[in-house]
This record gives sequence, structure tokens and C-alpha cells, in this order.
Amino acid sequence: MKNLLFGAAQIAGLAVVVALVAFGFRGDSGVEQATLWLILGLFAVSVSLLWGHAGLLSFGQAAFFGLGAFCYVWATTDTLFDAPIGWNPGIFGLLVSVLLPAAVALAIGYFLFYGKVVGAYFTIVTLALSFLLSSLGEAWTSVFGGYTGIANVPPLTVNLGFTTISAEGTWAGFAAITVVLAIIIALLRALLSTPFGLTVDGVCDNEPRLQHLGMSVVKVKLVTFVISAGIAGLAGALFAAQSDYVASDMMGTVLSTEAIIWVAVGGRKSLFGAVLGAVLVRGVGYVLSGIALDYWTLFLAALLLVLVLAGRTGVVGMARWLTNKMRAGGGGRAAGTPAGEGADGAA
Amino acid sequence: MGTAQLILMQVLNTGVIIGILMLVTLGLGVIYGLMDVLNLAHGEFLMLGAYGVVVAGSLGLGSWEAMLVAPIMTAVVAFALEKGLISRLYRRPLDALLATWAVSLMLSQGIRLIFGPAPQSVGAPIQGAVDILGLPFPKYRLFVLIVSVVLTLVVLALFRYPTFGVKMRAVFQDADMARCLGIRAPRIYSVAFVIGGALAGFAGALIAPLVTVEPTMGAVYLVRSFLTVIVGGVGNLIGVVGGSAVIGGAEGAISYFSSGVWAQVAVLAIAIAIVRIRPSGIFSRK
Repeated sequence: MKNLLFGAAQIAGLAVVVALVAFGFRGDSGVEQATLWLILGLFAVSVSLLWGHAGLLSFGQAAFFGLGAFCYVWATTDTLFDAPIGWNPGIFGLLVSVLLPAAVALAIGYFLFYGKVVGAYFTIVTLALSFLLSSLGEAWTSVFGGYTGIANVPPLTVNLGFTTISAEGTWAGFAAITVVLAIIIALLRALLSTPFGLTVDGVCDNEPRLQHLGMSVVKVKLVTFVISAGIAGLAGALFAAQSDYVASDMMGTVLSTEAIIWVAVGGRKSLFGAVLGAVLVRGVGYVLSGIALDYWTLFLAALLLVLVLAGRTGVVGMARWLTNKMRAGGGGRAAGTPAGEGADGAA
Repeated sequence: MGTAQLILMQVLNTGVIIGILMLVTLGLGVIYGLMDVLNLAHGEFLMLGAYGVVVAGSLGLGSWEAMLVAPIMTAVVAFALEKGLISRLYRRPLDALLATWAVSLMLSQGIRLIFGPAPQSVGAPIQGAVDILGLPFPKYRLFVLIVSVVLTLVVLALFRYPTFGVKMRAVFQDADMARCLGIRAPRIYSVAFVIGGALAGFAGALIAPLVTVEPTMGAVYLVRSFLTVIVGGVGNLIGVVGGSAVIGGAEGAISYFSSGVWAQVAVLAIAIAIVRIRPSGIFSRK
């Protein structure tokens, strides 16, 4: 319970800071950017689960993110079907955006993991997936909108009886996204502290030993991959609902890479760090965008290179290392590391 | 044009794809087999090779000289990359992936900043067509096909017969034992990496007149040659040749019926399915 409260407080604190910064820069119109950053934070959480906890480095996570975004578009517009679907196309779209990417991940993961595809091979197959899906999106105009993408995506609206909340460009929507983010992180932390969750971390730490203990490593990887794809898909759908524009490069390798960078910046084992990384990198990008948009990719790539060569503890890991050092006087991990990080383990 | 001629045309064009794929994948496969480093910047060597031709052309060199200068340029880049970065990442496969991917993005974005995103045009050094069974086939494509096959055979021979090749295969099989026997493994790594870079650069120079030369052109070949490595396996170099034939052949055959992108997606699906059935590649001896 204490852990849950601490986790919620972390997210709420970050949301308040993001909101204040966005409001300070742009006033009320800053809310859209602030919401998008948090949604990308959710996307980063899916990468942290897969890479930081299960040790599976995916260069194609944006494939699921973008696919989720298109699921939302297909459900709420007449791109694929004649009319929007269901009593609330937006909610239906969110549901499909979790299920379809998860199903794709299940199919691909089945072949890869049962084929004993490990390490680098997994990474390049996901890279190929992301690259080819975005190429396909560019070529297949009637479904993915081609080069120009699809504009005027309807926002997510929820009718509560006494009032209707529209999640696009409102502070209420921002608060809703914050709550969703906090809930998903809390659920993942709960999952990671179950026996199953411990085996997920075990896959990363010592896969052969898990096998010797008679556990089905393949199943653990597959389940983690599917959950991660579902979360990425949900983030994509929320992004589409918020930004009202979707294009095939949302499935592409550049966004996949950026997600990796966010997680590397935040410290790959920390779910909260992933959100922090996404918000930090996107925030810096937003401030710099007026100066040097052309150099942005170059900067991101250089950042990735530096992070790899410097080791990957990230900002959360560094902060933890510092607090430990001060508390224990250099005696390694203190017993009372920040409570909410219990499930995440130390960096 | 009759059906037989259309098919012959398709077979020859597929042969060109396979030939180029062999040149690119040889370097990639050898580097992966030797040092456990999957070089995600390998596609960028091909791109740099193509831009090398553009640069050499603008410096006033002829088409043939440009074709020789381009691989030398990429070899220099490969040497710098190996010494500066890759040598720190041996046996750390995931870090190497991340680092080389960062380099790949920096190279393609750097070229984009220098030359702009617009495609460059490169003229073929040989014009005209030759008659094959009554079918007019561009002479330059035939040249590319022959050169890539001959060069692949030369490289395979280089890895097989001279002392360097024997040492390299020794490191390939058991790096620690090879070092105990006095083979300087890091040097073998450097040379193999530079050869791989030069081969990919030469492949880029070869295809520059046939495709659109643009900063992002490396990605397609990167993905293709990775699928080739997956399908062919890395244990033996024959796998690279066989894998190239499977991937390039499948792509050529499928693109006969539908658009290029669908062919690539189908090839990815085929590769994933093959991984399930033969995890270490079709051509592995295990």
C-alpha cells in the first residue's frame, strides 16, 4: 500500500511539474504538448518492461505504438469501414488498440521465442518489422493514409451522464491521462512483484539458471512481449486521440529508437524513469525545436551513443546511487531505498 | 515480349538483387560471426559508397575511377569506426547494437544535412543493351551481376586459402584458442571489418546508377541482409550465399506479382517462419 501511494505520488508530482512547465511556456495551449509527453511516457513504460525487465531489446516497439494509433483511427473514422464503430467508437478503438498489437506480438513472439531467437536476432527482427510496417504504411494509402497520413482524428469523449469529458486539449484530459499512467504503472509493479514478475526479471539476469530450475523461459518472454505490445498500442491510440493526426512514421524505426533513448535516459529498469526520460527528452526537443530541427535526429543519435558508452544507469539510477551513497556512506545498497522502487529493483 | 522473355528478365533482375545482397551480407555475416557484433551501420556503408560515387563524380573523376574510389572511402570510415567504437564493444552484443544503430542514424542524418534529402542521380559507366535470347538487357546490369558473383567468389577464396583466411577461420571457431596460438585476434577483427565495409561500399557504388541514391537508402539493404543472415545462418560463409539466394530470390519472385513493399513484408514473414523451423539457419550443419 505504501509502495502504491509512493508510485502514485511520483506520477502526480511529475504531472504537476510538466503541467506547470507547459503552462509557463504556452499558457492553456501548452496542455496538448504536456498530455502528449505523458502519453509518450506510457509508451516508454512498455519499452522499459520489455528491455529493462525481460532483457529483450526491441527496435520495433513503435510498430505496436503506431498500429495502436491506426486501430483508433480505423474505429473512429471512415478510413477502413463505412462509419465509426460501436456506441462509443473512441473507447472501442482503445480496446482494439490493445488487442490487435498484442495479437501481432503473440504471433511474431511465438515464432521467434519458440525458434530460440535470442539477443541480437530478436532486436533485428523487430527492427525489420518496424521498418517494413512504416514502408507499407507509406505505400498503402487507402488504409494508412500514405505519405500524408490521416488528419482530423476525432478526440476521445466520455459521456458521464451529467457532463461530457473530451480528452483533447483540456486539463481534464491531461488529468485523465495522468491517472491512466499511474494505474498502469501500479499494475505493472504489482505484476512484477508476483512470482511471475520475478521470473521476468530472472530472464534478464540469468536465463540459463531459470531453465535449470525448470521454468518455461519462452512463455515468460512471450507473455511480457504481448503485455508490452498491448501497452504500446494503448499509448498509440491515446496519442492519436490527442494529436488528431496519425502518419505511418509513427510505426517507424526513428520513433522506436527514440523510445529506447527515453528509457536509457531514465534508467532502463525503472518504470517511472521511463516516463521521466520521455518527458525530459521530448521537453528538451520542444525547447530546441525552434533552433535546430534538422539537427534533432543527429542529437538523439549522439545522445544514444554517449548513453551506451557511459553505461546505462540513467537519471533515476544516478539519483538512487547518490542517495544510497549519502545514506550508507558508500556501503552499497541501503536497506531503505525509496519505497516505491521496491518492485523495480535497484539499477 | 513473350512470357518466357518476361520470366528471363525477372530472373536476371533477381540475379542482380542477389549479387548485391551477397556483397553486402558477406561483410555483415563475417563481422557477426567473428566478433558477435551485429553492425547496424552496415547499410550506411552501402549508402556512403553510393554517395562516394557522387562525390568522386563532382570532383571530376570518371565513372570507373569513382567506382574504385568509393569503396576506399568506406573502408576508411569502417577503419575509423572499428578503432574508435567497435573495438570497445566486442562480446557486448546489445551495446554494440545500440552504438552502431546510433552511428547509422548519425551517418544518414549527416549525409542528409550535407547533400539534402533529394535523390542524387548517377550515370551508368556502360550504356546500351545486350541481346540475351532475343531479350534486350541493359549491359550495365549484366556487368553488375557478373562483377558481384566474381567478387563474392574471390572473397570466399580469400577467407579459405591464404594464411589470413586460415587465421580468420581459426578466430571464428575459437577466439581464445586462436589467441593462445599467437594469432592477433584484434587485428583480424580490424581487417575483417574494413573488408566488410569496403565490400558494402563497393556494392553501393555498383548499384548507384540503378537505384535512387538518397540518405535513407541503406535501411532497405540493412534489413534485407539481416534477414539473409537469419535465414542462412552465420556458421558458414556458404550460408551467406545460400541465404542471399533465398531472400533475394523470394523478393524478386514475389515482386513479380505485387509491389516491392509487399514483397519485403512477405520475405520478413518467410524469414520469421524459417527461424521457427531451422533456428540456426537453413544452411547450418547442425
